[in-house]
Amino acid sequence: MTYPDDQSGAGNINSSLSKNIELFMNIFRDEDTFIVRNIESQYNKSIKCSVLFMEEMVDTSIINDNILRPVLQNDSLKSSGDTIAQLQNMVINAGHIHKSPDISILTHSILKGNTVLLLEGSSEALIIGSIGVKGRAIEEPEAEKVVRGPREGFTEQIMTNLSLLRKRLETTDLKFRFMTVGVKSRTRICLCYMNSIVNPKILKELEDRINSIKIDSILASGYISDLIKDAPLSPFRTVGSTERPDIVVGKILEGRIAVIVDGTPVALTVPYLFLEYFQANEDYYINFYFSSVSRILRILGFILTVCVPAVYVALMTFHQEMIPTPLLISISAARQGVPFPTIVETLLLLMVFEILIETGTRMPTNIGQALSIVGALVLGQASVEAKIVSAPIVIVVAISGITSLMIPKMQGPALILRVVFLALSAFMGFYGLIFGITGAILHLCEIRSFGVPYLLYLTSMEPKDLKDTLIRAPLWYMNYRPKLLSQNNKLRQSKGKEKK
Amino acid sequence: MIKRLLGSLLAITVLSIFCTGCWDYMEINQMSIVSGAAVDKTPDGKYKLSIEIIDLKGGGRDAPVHSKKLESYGDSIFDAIRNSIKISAQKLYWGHAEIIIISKDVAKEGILPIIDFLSRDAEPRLSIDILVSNEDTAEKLLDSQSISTEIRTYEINKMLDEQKKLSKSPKVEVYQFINALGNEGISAVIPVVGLTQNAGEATSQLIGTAVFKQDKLQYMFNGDDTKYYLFVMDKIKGGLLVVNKTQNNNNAGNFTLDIDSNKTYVKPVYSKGKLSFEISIKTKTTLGEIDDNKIKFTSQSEIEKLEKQTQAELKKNVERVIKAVQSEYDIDIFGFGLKVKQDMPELWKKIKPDWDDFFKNVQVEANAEVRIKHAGLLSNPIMMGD
Repeated sequence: MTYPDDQSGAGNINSSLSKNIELFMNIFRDEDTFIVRNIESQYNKSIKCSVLFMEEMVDTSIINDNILRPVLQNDSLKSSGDTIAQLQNMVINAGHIHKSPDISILTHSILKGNTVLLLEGSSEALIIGSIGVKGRAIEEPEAEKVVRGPREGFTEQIMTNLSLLRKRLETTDLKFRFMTVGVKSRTRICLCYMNSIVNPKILKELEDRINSIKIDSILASGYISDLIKDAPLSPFRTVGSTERPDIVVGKILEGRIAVIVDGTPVALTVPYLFLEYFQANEDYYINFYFSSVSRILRILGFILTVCVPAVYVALMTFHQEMIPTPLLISISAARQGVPFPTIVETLLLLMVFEILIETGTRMPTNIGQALSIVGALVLGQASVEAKIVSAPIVIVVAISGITSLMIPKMQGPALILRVVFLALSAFMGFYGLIFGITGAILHLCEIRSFGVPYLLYLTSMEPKDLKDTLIRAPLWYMNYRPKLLSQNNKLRQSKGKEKK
Repeated sequence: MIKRLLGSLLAITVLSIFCTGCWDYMEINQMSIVSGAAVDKTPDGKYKLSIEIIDLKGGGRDAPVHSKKLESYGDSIFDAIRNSIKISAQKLYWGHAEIIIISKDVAKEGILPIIDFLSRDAEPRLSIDILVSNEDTAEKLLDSQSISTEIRTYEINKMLDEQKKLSKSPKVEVYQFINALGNEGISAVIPVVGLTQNAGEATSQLIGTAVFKQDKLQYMFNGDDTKYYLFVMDKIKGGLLVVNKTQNNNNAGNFTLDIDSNKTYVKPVYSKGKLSFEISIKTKTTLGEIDDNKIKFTSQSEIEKLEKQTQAELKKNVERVIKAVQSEYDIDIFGFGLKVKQDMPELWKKIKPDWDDFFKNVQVEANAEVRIKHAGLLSNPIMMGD
């Protein structure tokens, strides 16, 4: 693949060492970290070669000990015969080594951190693995902490990430397939799946979608997710993302495909179902009663966060007869002297809350206390005492805000639904809210993620399909994998007595 | 095809938005919450409405919520309500009104206009309780001292709700009154509320039952008779049965039974051209108090003695109340006519025109079956030594 502005050169190298060096010097002109080291064998002066690498990308000890020293000190090299094959097979001690005459391939290998060895009189060059890029250590991801469960998280190094997966699935069934995306960035991405479980149609569809990406760079996996997702205008995500290898392994074993992107600690999983918002990895590590309860709480939290402000406004401004009398009296008393209508008040406070969240995410952690004081005291209590807003609305917004934090991934969609529902109920009361809810459900029913219905299992009436939905059934009871995702290999575990 | 389908779907959705009933955006602090009202008539024939509204002026912080009285006059009930804007500036909100007290004079003239407004207007609920005032004006009751809350009418409503523990007053909501009004063979009743002195201040109390002929007040009877009326109507949920020593000549003392549950069956019997009614009352009770330390609850025969005395007492009182209503007022508040209509529709067609005469002379026999289930925390009486 060559692009108009690609300067990596085309064609093959020729057999003249000096011409080849000139060629690469030209490709890497004005590039100060590009190193060309000319060497010749101590024992056979006719063997001249050149070692080319990028200083910042390589592990210099590999070059010194495994490339330079063997070539310099080998006394059996013969200038007659296939010298390059001798070098490759008998001299250089590196695990990763192969031949190529293609200038473009050689250039990209150098850019990746490999070393290229050019030999006088040879029209092929050796590519020797010497990548020595430093990365972050494996840490627990900040955004997805667990109490009980593995603490490892992905890093920015794709190979480290793959090793985290492979060590959890020691099977040849686990396949890693590399693809390259991004004209400039040439980012390596890796599709990970279980060959015997994955649905080949979904795999094919994913490959097609990734192949059709024509973008200059992929800086994070979010780029890929945005470019390949279904229902691109929907606020709901149709591509999953996680920083935890254990989650990825779990998804792979259910027949999903993971996409690991070099340079991002966030892996993508497809297809993504609505239900996955409410599933946490810890659900499977703790007692099923507790995980069922917390799953129900999460769903309840979602309903609360999108509906509470809308229900409050509908009750206060349209359906006063539905409020218990003592509550009506106390809310009415609290609203005495408040200048704004309920809907304005609600929108105002919801906005303040979103601002607080946004500020909290972007600011340095050590000034967090100042923010919480300003947020809680100044904006909460003082504004009520100054009669700018009424006290009940602070409670309503706080409930809505806290419950929205229960499912961090849901924050975006929840915000949009909340505001839409609020607007509808300010227009038409509960009647409008019901319209909004109906619309949202219709929208969810309509979405497909890689051909799989988004609400899969949530709409099912069969008890078999409901084992991992509202509740999390005990593991010994979940014998089958999700149906639509893994049609080829449904059995997760054989039932105790009837062994296969 | 799919376009037409989508188009019609859109049209249906958009149209149905405008096909709703009445709705309006209304802030709760822009309305006066009505808790209840009293209806009187001025000497010149205008309605005088005393409306109790909840006073939110103080902002409701650190102080109990008080109420305020709004007096408004008008040629009709609705007119009087609207005229209140002249003095209060805020629209009245009737969605949370709980009771309407009607003065004796208005009730004697007929309460149809009040019932009509309450059920026709969208805001007031059909579950509003209606009461008749025993005082010369209904307004006086709103001025009386309240004990458990600062809002007078809510307290009266609460008193009615708690009657299930006492059974000395009926509880009649607007829709029940309308049902009784529309049914043949039954006349409507309404609880009566009056004033009494409590710790030196006038406060309201429920004092019995007002009987209506159609929508006009006829007469009232007291709370004790109301209890036996409720027995016939199968509306007893609780309350006490006090059996008095003076009415018994054996050695058992006063004792009080707490009613746990009650079921009453009224059965019309038509034989040999003569209509009569059999009332069987089945009551389960607990012994609540006894002025005698010789009765052991462990002894079946002694308990049966108590049960027998209570049965006789209950039977006597129920028959007495029915007799009084029959002979003195001749208004079928027990719904005997309705029973005939339901059980023997053919007969009802014949006797309907002369039902008032029939009711006056119809034979009623009450049978009570009282069970004492247990004796509270004492199975043996308290022993007295020297």
